[in-house]
Amino acid sequence: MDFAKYIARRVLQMIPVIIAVTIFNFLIINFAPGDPVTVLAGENATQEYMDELREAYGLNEPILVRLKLYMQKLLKGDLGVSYTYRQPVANIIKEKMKVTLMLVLLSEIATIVVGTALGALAARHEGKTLDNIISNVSMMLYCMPVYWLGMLLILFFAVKLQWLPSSGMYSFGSQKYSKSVDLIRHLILPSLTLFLVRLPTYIKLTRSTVVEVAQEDYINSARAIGYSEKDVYKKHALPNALLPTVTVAGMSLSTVFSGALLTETVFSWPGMGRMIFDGVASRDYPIIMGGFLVTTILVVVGSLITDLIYMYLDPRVVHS
Amino acid sequence: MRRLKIFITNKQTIIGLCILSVLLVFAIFAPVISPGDPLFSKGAPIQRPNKEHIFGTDNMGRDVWAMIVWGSRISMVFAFGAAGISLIIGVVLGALSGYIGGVFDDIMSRIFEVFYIIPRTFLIILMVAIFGSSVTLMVIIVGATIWPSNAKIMRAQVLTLKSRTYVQAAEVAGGKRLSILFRHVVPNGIGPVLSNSTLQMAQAVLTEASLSFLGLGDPSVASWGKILQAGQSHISSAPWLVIIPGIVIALMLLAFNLLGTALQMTLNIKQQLIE
Repeated sequence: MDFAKYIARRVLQMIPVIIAVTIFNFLIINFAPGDPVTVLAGENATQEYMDELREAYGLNEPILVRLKLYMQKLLKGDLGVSYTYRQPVANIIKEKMKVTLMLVLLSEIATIVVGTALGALAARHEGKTLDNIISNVSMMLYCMPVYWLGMLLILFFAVKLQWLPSSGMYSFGSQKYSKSVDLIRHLILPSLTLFLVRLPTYIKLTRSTVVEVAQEDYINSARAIGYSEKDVYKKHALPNALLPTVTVAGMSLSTVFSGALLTETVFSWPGMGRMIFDGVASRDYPIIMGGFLVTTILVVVGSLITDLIYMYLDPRVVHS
Repeated sequence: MRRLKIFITNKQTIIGLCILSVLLVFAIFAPVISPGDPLFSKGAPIQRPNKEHIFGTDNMGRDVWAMIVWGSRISMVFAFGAAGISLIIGVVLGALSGYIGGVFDDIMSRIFEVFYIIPRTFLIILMVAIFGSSVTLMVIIVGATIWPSNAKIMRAQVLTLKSRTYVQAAEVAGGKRLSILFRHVVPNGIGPVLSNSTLQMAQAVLTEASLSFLGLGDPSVASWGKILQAGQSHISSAPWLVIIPGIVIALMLLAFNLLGTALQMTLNIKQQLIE
């Protein structure tokens, strides 16, 4: 089978998954007890006003009609209007996505690079002091809840040393820093939190695969040819051990987003995670469904890209 | 026996079991160790750790030590309850899918995939927000969302085991297929699923703490995440509300992760012994 066919098949496979998830989301939310109209109208609303709202938001129609309407709108890229923001969901998500990506992207890339390097380093010194230090620190980080780590960093860098701001995206009032410097100062602690929390995943993974690969015959041949130990690891063992890392990095999109929810909560970072969480709390159905849908699509597309990179790195995948 | 010895004498197993035993004693004997309702105010709010309150008090005057002791109960309930539900669902569906094969396997694999892809944390938050946050309900929700990894592992195990001679012998001897599957195939392939379950116990504990931290926990029970939630808003005036419960959560996660890793290592050794 050639590449084009393989890609086409993978794309086709994605569609039913996305549709299934969309319907699943829609049903769960619509069978839930609790009336969104009471949220919309506020506590002292009259019955008439509530009926009017129900009509305006299409909440009167039977569920199947609503599902059909929702799917039709989705195909046009219309995610509906948020009850609480009173704005199109697509616009809100676009805005929030930028804010979350700002936080997530840089820290995830840094984690992948540093984690892989540390994992390979630990593997090269398997069983020795350096390996013990890296593995133990990595295990400790792995056991720390992300919000706890975030709060410890706030406690140290914001409360005790007062070097960095503890929350938000921008400082109010103070003109001490220019806008971009202010933003960067606010980004440091939440990014550092995500970086540290995701680090052990890559260290553990790289360490174990490099240790495994290092026992292969071709690695011994490289040694026999006379490559230095450093080159054996850098040029032969590590590149061959990277495949699982690619998979994890590709599948990590959803984990990163949920990790971002807790990090965003601790640091009051106004991103996607917070948006979905607040949406759930206020029963803002269009926001919840839009948020779920976009996150799901990201995950599915992430796994497709993973497959493509995988295929490039290891052509055997296509033929099996 | 040799495997058991390897597992028991492992340093990781010993540390993990020590931590867990202490927390289990807390959970079982909570009413003896710290009598009275942990959610009841026991003095002035925001007291530093002192002789009377060794871990201090929170913003409502509740004793942090009492909440830590009682909080181990809900963590244990989540660890065993949610991981147990996930284990049962995962083993049954994964085993059937691998053993029956064909169209059934295709459909099941797709379902595993969809469950795998749905953003799990958001799904759990949504279900808890919709259906309520009683402990029983939350345990079921968490268990019912984390099973796909167990199912995948079980399915792979059954696929490799079902062509073994002893399974075919049992089939030729006229055994019922279902009883062959659950009496002979599953018990022989369940090892890796169990080590995954141990890791899932850590995941369940972490999920409970996170939900409580977000304010979605059961309001009628003491939980470690709840202390952290209080700590977040008093971070500069009461750092002990942040530091102490965090250490306890991390220790429990460490225990389950060490045990899971040790189990994995033991099973690999077992495979090496067979080969």
